[in-house]
Amino acid sequence: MLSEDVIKSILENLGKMEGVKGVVITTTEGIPVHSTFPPDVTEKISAFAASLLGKAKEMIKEVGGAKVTFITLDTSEGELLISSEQEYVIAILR
Amino acid sequence: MEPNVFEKILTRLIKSESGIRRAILVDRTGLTIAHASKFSSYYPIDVEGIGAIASAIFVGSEEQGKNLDIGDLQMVISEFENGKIFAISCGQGVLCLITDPDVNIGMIRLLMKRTAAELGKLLDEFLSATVSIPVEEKKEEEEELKAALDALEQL
Repeated sequence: MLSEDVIKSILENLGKMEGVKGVVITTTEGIPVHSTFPPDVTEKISAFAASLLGKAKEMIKEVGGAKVTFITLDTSEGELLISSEQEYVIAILR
Repeated sequence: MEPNVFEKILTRLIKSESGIRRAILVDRTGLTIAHASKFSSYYPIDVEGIGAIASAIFVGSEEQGKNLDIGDLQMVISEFENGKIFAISCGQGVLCLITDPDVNIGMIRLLMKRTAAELGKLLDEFLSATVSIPVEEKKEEEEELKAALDALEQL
């Protein structure tokens, strides 16, 4: 498991990238682990990102059984990138 | 207040996320105010008992928080092998959810916080309402009581 310092440095590096508004690391159960957003926004992003990933996994399992590794949501005001590894999910808003 | 308003809100809550088996609204003394279930016929449980225990646990934890001076209790999550129980404060009551074990905890927390705010207002309104007995009914009751007392005195 990664240490607190390593996670913080990863979040800082991601936050410095052009256009990145914020980063949230959450468990697959939707419990936030680390975030650069305020608590209320973090809670919402964590819950919905984990839920969305869960639904996507269910859908992919039904149609083929491949592993979901990345989700991109394009919106009129930017994009949300969601990636998952083991029991953690990372969501980047940019 | 609209009849069955609490049941309607609880049913909407159950439908909003998969994995929620049952929702129970209780007051701080453990009395069940309303409940809703997804599969009531498949999971026959003692709703009143579950609600009373959930309320007791919540109030007990709240007391612990007061003793430790760590503020008001927001939510209690009990995790079991085959399910989870969530309890959140909503005004003068406690909202209790029984879910599957693999439910999205973050989403349930979010939904419960939103629903608790809505239920809290309605519950406070519901519990503060006073029932007024019509004057005629009161007079009838008094007369009946007097007649009963006279009958007792004659004995």
